Amino acid sequence: MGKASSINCHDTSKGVKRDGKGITVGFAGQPNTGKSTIFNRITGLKQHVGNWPGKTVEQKTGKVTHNNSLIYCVDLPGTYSLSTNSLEEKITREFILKEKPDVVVVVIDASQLERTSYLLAEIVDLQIPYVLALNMIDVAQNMGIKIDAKKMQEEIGAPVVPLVAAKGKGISELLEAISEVAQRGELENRTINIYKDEIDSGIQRISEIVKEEKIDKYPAEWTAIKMLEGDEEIIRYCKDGMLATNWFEIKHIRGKLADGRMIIAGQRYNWISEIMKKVVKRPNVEELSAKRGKFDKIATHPILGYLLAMIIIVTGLVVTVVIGMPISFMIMGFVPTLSAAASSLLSGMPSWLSGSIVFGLIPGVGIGIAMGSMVMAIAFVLGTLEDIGYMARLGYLFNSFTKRIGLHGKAFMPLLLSLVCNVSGIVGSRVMDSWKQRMLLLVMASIIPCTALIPIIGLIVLQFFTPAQSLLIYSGLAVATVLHLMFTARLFGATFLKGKQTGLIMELPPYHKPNWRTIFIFVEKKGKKFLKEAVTIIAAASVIVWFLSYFPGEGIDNSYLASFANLFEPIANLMGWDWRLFTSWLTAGVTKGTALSTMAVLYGISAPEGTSIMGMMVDIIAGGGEHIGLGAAIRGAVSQASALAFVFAVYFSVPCLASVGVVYSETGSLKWTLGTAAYYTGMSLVAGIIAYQIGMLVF
Amino acid sequence: MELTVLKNNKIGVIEKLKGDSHFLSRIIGMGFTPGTKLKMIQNYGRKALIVFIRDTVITIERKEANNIILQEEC
Repeated sequence: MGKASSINCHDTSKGVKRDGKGITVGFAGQPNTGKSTIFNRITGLKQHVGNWPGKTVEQKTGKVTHNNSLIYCVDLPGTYSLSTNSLEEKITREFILKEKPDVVVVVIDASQLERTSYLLAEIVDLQIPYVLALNMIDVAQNMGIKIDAKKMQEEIGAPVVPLVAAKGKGISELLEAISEVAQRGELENRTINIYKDEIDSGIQRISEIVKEEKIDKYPAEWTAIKMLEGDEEIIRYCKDGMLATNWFEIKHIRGKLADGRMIIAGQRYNWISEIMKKVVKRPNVEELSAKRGKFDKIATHPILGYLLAMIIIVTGLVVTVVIGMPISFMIMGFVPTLSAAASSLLSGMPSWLSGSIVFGLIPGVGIGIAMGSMVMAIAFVLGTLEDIGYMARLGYLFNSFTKRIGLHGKAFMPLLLSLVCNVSGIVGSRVMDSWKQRMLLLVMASIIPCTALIPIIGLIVLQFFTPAQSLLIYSGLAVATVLHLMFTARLFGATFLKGKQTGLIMELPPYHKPNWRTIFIFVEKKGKKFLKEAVTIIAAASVIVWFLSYFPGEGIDNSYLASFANLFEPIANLMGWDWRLFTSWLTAGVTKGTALSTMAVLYGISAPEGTSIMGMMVDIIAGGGEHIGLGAAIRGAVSQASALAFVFAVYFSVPCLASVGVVYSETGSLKWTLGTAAYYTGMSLVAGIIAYQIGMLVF
Repeated sequence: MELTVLKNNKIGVIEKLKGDSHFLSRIIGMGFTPGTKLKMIQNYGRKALIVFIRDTVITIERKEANNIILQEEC
């Protein structure tokens, strides 16, 4: 067996059991090399999806048995290099250096050998046993690129396995190579000389000093390379406690090789192209670039590109709605029936218990499951567009729009889908290439008004304002949404998602046929994760809200929720609200419809059995809300300025429990989940207060 | 000349890269290094550029592309 038994460092890969037996394999590769396809092929549905410890970056692990030995697989984030530019790069690097997997599988795209091999050169530096997976060999062949894998193997001193992962070709050979390398436990040929001349002597000298200083956390040569590259993290780490004379010498060497980063990168690419010259036969740049062009010319055309994009976006919207909505509505339609049945079934129980089930748990789980179908539909549409390579084209086309709110163009489609349902943007944040962009999209998505919000806002506006005023209010909401998005981008960009933002530099990957297996696994994982994690949060929150609105009894106006609202009287006063309006606003976070039903109950317009706002919400969803009749009673009790504040505050509050649940299932972080919810709540009050001030001037 | 100046279908060789270390390590990983040949696929108005480099099609915003200095190949 390999070195697995000697691994005793802390386990940063949840789901991968390190029981001393078996082989641990990390899958590394640049984005779009088909790394995940290989990973999915090997581990199938037996994957565990979690987070990297302490991070909101997804970690996929899985295991497979090959030749009676267990192989634990860890899918590392796709990265172009191993500097510490991004969280993904950091995670990949830390995993390889600290966890020391028995084997690293480096996935490269045979049709884009030169560029995708850059990561290989960096893995070589790490001095860890590896296997080279030469994926998409069929695409390369079609382009006239011929690769001699055997010869390549001799050159790089590690097994080279050609694959067509999408079709499952080469997978067993890859597993074979993994076991072989793990058993041998070391590289076949350790004398790979990537670096030359003064860089090489620089590396030698610095690594001698590093060894002398007993800095053995990382391989000495690698540490030296990183110092010459100007890697701040490594430089800081080594400088601590180093002898002044040694540090001075390193500084001197670095000073002489001021352009070290560029020379090192150049030498890595040279090493790659030297190998390519020996093992690859290929057409020239002119011929290759010409082959790529045809469809892409239309897809990226300044006019036709947008037309095509519109067709694809509309199709995507239709598919999402057609797949997601009917199941969603079916489940929601079933909830009142189920609640009624449960209500009569549980009639013998104490009313608080039956109430919490009928009006808390059942609607909560109902909303959750109904949203689950939407989540899967969205995952299907976005997953397919990403898989075939089109998403990057949308990114190119719409970058100039999304740039204004700090997001790159790939965010356009998820943002647009957020108009159907906010959950789309949150789930769709997965398509963003970097952690920062992903989190920013996730935060922004909930600010977009969704289809469920618009009729509710319409209903409230209708009670208080004339058609002409309504028109102004809707325009105001639209402007406020844009301002809110811009403000949020600035705020988060300057605080929680701080760091340098470079403009769009993105690969437009080659198109390929949809790989249904990969898409299916993506959809299945998303759905499962949502049902498991988000539904729990939604159901729990729903029951809690019910309890707060029911206890200590004698109606919602006497409830804890009302007492809680009373605590915020000073804030409510800023908008001219009484506790009833404040309570209604509070419950808008469950679903926006809930705010309406709370209003109806609190202003005594139509109180159904008991005082359950959740039950009212079920009624509203089932009955479309016409029968609530929020008319004259409210108009008498609430001024127009306060109503305006209410409209804005409800519009900007947390979209619904489902959106909160999905933030949790996407980030796996309670801090981000509660933090964003608190942010929307705060901003909603700010919007309400501003609207009230304007309302006071106008009305 | 800057990359933004290169016309459609013209080929250039990268001479120099400017910018901070964050930017540099980012574009190096995507294939931009001095001496590399690239071809302009699309350079329209104020839109981001599309170039072909190391067998890959990459889109890069103009502001970023101004940091890439090259020599046009005749």
